[in-house]
Amino acid sequence: MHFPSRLIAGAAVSLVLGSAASTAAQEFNWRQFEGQTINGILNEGPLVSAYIEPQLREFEDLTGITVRLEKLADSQARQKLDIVLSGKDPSVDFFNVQMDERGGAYTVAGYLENLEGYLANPALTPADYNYPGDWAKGCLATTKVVKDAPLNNLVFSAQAQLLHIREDLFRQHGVKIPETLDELEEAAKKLTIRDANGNIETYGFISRGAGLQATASFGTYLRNFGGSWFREENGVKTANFASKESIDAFEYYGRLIREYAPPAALTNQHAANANLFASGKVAILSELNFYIYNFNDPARSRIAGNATTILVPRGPAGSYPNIPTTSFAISSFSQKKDASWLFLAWITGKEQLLYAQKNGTPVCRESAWVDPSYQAPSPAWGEASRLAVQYGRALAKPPAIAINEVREAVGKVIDVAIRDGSRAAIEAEASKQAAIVDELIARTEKDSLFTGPEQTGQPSAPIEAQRRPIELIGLAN
Amino acid sequence: MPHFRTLVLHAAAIAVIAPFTFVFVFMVWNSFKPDFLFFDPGVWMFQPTLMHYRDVIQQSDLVENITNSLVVSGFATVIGIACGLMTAYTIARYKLRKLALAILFTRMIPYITMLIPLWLVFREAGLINTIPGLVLAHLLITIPFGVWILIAYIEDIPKDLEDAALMDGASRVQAFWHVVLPLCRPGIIATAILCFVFSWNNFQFALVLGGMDVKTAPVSVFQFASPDTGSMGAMLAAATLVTIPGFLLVMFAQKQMAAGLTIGGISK
Amino acid sequence: MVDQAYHGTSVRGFPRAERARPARAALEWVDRNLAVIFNIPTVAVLIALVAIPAVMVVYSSLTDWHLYLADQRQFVGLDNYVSAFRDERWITAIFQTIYFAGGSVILQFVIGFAIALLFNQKFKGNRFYRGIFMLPMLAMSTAISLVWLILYNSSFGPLNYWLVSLGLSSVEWLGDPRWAMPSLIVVQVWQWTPFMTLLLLAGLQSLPDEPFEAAKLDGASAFQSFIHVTLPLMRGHIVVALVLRSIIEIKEFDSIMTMTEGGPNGATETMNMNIYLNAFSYSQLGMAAAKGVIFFAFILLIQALLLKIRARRWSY
Repeated sequence: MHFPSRLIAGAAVSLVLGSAASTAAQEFNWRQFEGQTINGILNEGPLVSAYIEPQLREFEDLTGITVRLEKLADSQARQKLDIVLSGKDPSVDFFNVQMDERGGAYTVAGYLENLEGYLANPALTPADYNYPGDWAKGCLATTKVVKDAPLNNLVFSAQAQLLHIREDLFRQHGVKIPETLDELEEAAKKLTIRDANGNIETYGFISRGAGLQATASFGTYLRNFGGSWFREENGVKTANFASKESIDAFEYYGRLIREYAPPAALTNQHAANANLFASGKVAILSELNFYIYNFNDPARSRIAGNATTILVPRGPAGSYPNIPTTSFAISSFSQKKDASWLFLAWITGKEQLLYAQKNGTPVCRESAWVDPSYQAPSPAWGEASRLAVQYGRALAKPPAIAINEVREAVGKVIDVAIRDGSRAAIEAEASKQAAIVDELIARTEKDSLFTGPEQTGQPSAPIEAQRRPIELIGLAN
Repeated sequence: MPHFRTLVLHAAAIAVIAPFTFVFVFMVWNSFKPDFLFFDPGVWMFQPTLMHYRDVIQQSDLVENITNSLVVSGFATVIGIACGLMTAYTIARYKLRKLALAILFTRMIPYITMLIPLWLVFREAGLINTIPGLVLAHLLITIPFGVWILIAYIEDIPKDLEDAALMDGASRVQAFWHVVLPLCRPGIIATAILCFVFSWNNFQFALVLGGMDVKTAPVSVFQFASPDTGSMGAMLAAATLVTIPGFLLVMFAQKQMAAGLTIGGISK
Repeated sequence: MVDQAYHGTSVRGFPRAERARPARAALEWVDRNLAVIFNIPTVAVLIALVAIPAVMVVYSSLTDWHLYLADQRQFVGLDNYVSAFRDERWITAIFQTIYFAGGSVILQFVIGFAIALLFNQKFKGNRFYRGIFMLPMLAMSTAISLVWLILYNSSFGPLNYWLVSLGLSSVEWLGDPRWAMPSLIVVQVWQWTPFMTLLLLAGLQSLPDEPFEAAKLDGASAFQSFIHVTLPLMRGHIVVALVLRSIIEIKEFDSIMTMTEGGPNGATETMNMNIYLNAFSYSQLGMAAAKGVIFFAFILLIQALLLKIRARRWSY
């Protein structure tokens, strides 16, 4: 399968011609598409309710463009987009997409409009937009998942998989805040606290253990051990999660959950894990950083004021924070691409993303993190989250067209690692699943298309950086 | 001992409805429970809060979609029953076995497989994201179900009554209108309620064939099951909000439903 | 519209009065063709919504249609069908569908019949209890699934709280592969037993009195008359109820999607869930279509078996 030539041709055309508006004056004018209506599909949730919707009115007043949103739950949004885009339907102009999820397949299928021409066109992009200048390097590294593909998405949300810890418990039990994976295991052990009857009162650790979702938390551990989802040799992409380092990671991750986590970890969705942490039953939670807002809200949490956040500790291969970012994209089949672009450029503008940052969506613009009016929910959280957007990679999912099948395959290895845990069993399951994945890749990806998070992005976060959030907590030994 | 018998029957009835009622009591009462108290499932007494209702109403378009659902399911039910009655009547009176079988077949079709073809057909017809389009799709639920149930009711109407009308010089259409319809009115209402429920429940059609303007309640309710929401109180508040219309319907139609239940006895 | 054809006859009763000839002829024509005319709307809707998409599904099932590789779609004959039967997950899904639907329908039938017998007794307040009892089937199943998600929650759900209070160990209701399916079945039983009761109660109330009186005269006990009179007389109603419920349960989607999405480890993956995942998670539309056709054949087979034991009245 080759990268669709019409897409490259299309990219060239739009680079040469710019867009319709550029034939007019080269002046930037917010009202140039007055009266148009654009339609978007977005994932319902804080993204829409705390970031986009409150600001929509201002955009409509400024530009005279009407923006209509269809808000759907994640799985529904994907189902709907799949149908609409594969039907080459013009009814959807823009949408949000995770480049490490559907992004690769959409790119290969040619569903995502090339944005380079719009970005380079001064009539369409405000002079102070500053892309990629103001964007964190980690975020930028997640935007390109297919080799030779042009820029076809605007990354804005920088959620990160970090380690939430109970500051009070660490202090009370005199446990060192972990800097390495060994120290994490030590801490999990010490913080698994039993009551007088021998029943577990507080569990030491919890992270995702169920099915395909588990790859999102596991990604960092895999990479920190030196493993990876895939490797590429002589242009052939094969599964690498049966390598020695990868098995080390499975063994470690499985052991932590088996020994120190409540049994529910095997099946919980991530919100359920977060609830366990918020209820005070767990001391350390490996999960997305935006949950800190729940933990600090006394109406939703028992541990308000006692939770803070650090990077996932470093392993033998270093420290690679995992940022499953979210981007905006314009449909190749839209008939209002220019107006859609204007909206996306505005909603990802400096002020608008600062607004998002203040309202609970960690964003990709560096300026939002350092703005004096922004205050992080906790100093360590602010530092760790910022490091993640700088050093992060898209490690949450194995990059592939058949992404969900591959994720499920890895999920099965994680399941064995948790339930059984013997090295032999993990190796056997990993080899079995790797063979299945290799066959899938051969069937769905004839060339090695994906850049893969292993090959791109920043080097490991330096050890001084790793320490910074810990020092901010003021407990580092 | 008639008194003893009544007592036993009441005790049995209460024992039967208790588990069915408990879930609703749990749902409604806990929708007023602050989130952090969900960590103590044993706590039943607390200061009720409206925060979850506020969140649900502000953060989702559930209320708007409940209205859409009422419209779509309402029309789909009325049209479905109208078509269903005519078909059921002809099947019952003319013994149209093949048609009955074909309609039974349509009830067996897995909708999931049909979604993409339906989307293509609807797009060609310009029906995507329109109320009439969605009503049409929901006829796929209401008509076959309506026919299947109504056949039984129509069969139970003694043929003599109709024959007498025909002898009197009425046409078949008149006989249908003046004899059959009034006699199976309770059955029609009971069937209509069931059709409404099945249409009200469906969320795949609205997801795929609806759009910005036309989304139904199950589509927004489903959002609260997604792990990102995480608020158990909001889940229950959303569930309570969509349950209310169904209950109002029952209260309104309970008498008719009860009558519809006994229609089977009419011919005996 | 039919009414307008013979205005003046809208009063109850059917006037013998002579009508104008042309109107009379039109009415007779309508009467002669009633079986066709009355079915035009239904058949038109079903052709548009079923026949056309069905042809498209059958065609798709013969291609290797992948959502993202649509441009490379090729005709592959029966390959998808062959691979479907080689797919272990699909075979498992078939058995799990039988488990789920069979379990749900049988429990609904047994419990529903018992409750129908209760409500068939005459006592004051009967209608009140019955009204409350019918509520679950009128609630939206997606919403009800949310409530059960919380009831079943392994850490904060009341079910486990009570188990632990009683000194038992807690259960991963939806998380343990052994418990997930029974837990889903309980929700079906909770929500749809009232429907089963409704159908069976209608049957019970339509039964003639004479056979029961005869049995009483013969000195039959309540149990004997249930076995020898009620059950045989109810056969037709029972089959109808089983047919109706089993079609719906085999195709159940909303509650499984909301509560487990087919998990844990595929333990609640029914045929319908498997098709959904094939189409919208794995994007293999050709395979999903082939499985859809197999699924339809499966439902057809089950219904044919059920209808084999049908009663005379239900001879369609």
